[in-house]
Amino acid sequence: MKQTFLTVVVLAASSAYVAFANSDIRARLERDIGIGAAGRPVGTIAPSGPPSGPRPVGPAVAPAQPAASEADVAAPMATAPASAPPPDRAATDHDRLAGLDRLAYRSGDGHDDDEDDDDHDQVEDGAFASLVLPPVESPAGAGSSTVQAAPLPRPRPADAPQASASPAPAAQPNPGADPAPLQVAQSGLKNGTFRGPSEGAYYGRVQVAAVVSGGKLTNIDILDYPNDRRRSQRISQYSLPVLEQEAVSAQSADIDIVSGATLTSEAFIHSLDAALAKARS
Amino acid sequence: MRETRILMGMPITIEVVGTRSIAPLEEAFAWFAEVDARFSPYRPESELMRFNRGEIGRSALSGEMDEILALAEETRRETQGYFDIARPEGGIDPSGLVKGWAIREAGRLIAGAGYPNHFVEAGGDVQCAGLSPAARPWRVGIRSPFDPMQVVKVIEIGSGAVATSGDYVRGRHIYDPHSRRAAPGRWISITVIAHDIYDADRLATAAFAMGDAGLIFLEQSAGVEAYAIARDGMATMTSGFKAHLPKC
Repeated sequence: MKQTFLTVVVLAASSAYVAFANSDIRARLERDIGIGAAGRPVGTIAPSGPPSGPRPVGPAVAPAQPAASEADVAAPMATAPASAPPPDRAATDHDRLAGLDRLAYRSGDGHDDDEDDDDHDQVEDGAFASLVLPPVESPAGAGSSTVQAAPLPRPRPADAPQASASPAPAAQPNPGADPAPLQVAQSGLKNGTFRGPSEGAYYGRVQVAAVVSGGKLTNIDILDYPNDRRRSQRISQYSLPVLEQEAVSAQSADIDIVSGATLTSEAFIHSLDAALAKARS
Repeated sequence: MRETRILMGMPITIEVVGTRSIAPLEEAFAWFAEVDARFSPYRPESELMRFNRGEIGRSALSGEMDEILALAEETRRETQGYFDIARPEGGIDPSGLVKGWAIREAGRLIAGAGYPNHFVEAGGDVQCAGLSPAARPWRVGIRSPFDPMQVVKVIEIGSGAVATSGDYVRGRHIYDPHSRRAAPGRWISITVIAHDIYDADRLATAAFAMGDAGLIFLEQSAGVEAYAIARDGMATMTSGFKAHLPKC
């Protein structure tokens, strides 16, 4: 059977841009690594209209110049998730899409397996090559400082890298909560390419890699971005974490209900028949 | 209020917290009866069977049948064909989609009636909402593939869904390791946790069809966790699964 790695990403039906929920994060990034800040604009990622495929984005840009010696480690940039989409589309999407249209699966194409992630000089077929910060827009009525923006349409498969079935149903995202603070490296950066975690943004997953040479951040690669349905997964070589295993054993805790493979109707009928036979005897 | 009824050829259990009236459950059970009448692959007069026999054309289908067919096609494309409702002998069997879809809609009916704390379970798939009568997240047990009377894992779900796909049920016989079917994959049971039962259901089905790679697929899927049990009794979990273990 074809071994195809599939990644489920969440796509927005309309706009799909990465926006930082916290204007403080954006301000810090602008200050420390000069992205989207003073000087030449780095190009824009336009909000998508109909979900017809990858959107043309700005041209590949010159590497960002760190503005100060205490450059932020770029990896934490990936930890700032997207804010909620403008609320006018949220309810419509939820109702219209019935949860399914918002899932897209992508496979790792063969040619991408050969691609060298560390070769950051390559720009992939016209696609974006650096992370940009479009103007932060706060959805009306939503606290823009929240990391997990509160007014998200339900249901949706991902609003966090972890499972979205919330184990604490009473907990709502705290609109006043601060986002995870950026890790600011006080000394120079180590040379190399550093991947940020693959983060679930509302519109999909975002993953960046920071390329450092000469102790400075010289480029930021986009490894995964939700707007590109056909973009081959560059992290197809990424080794999965070792998954935890255990021997199954009988549990005797209180439970409310059991999940199991469906008893077929035939099985049920046989079982019922046997039960009735007992009842009759 | 909690009740189990047999509809769509399977036991369906609904629990609604905060009422002693059967009324909100009745509405949901009536919905399942309607789904059964329309989508049953066993009732000769169901819309599905008439469609499969060619007695109704595509253009004459109900809105709900159209919706299911569209969802099925979407899923087929998105899972690279691993999930396909087409039957080898012709016609379609959308049962794998209908169940999750029907459960989700039933939950919406109950919530819409003003009951945010409930679960709807049908044939081993469950959509939970809110809190249990004990004022804590719903506790869902994963049935042992080796003993139908035992549970091998307990997970806590607030508002979320659990679906299990497995091949350990053979008619009235639970899994017979000596049966000769088309080479079974490594997994005997895969349980998927997702926000929405419709997604959990079809992802569990698709993952199960993928064989060994099914768990990797689920690991890479956003917002989804899974617990896969192999035939040797070893279970493997996705990296975020443990967030759903009971806290106390």
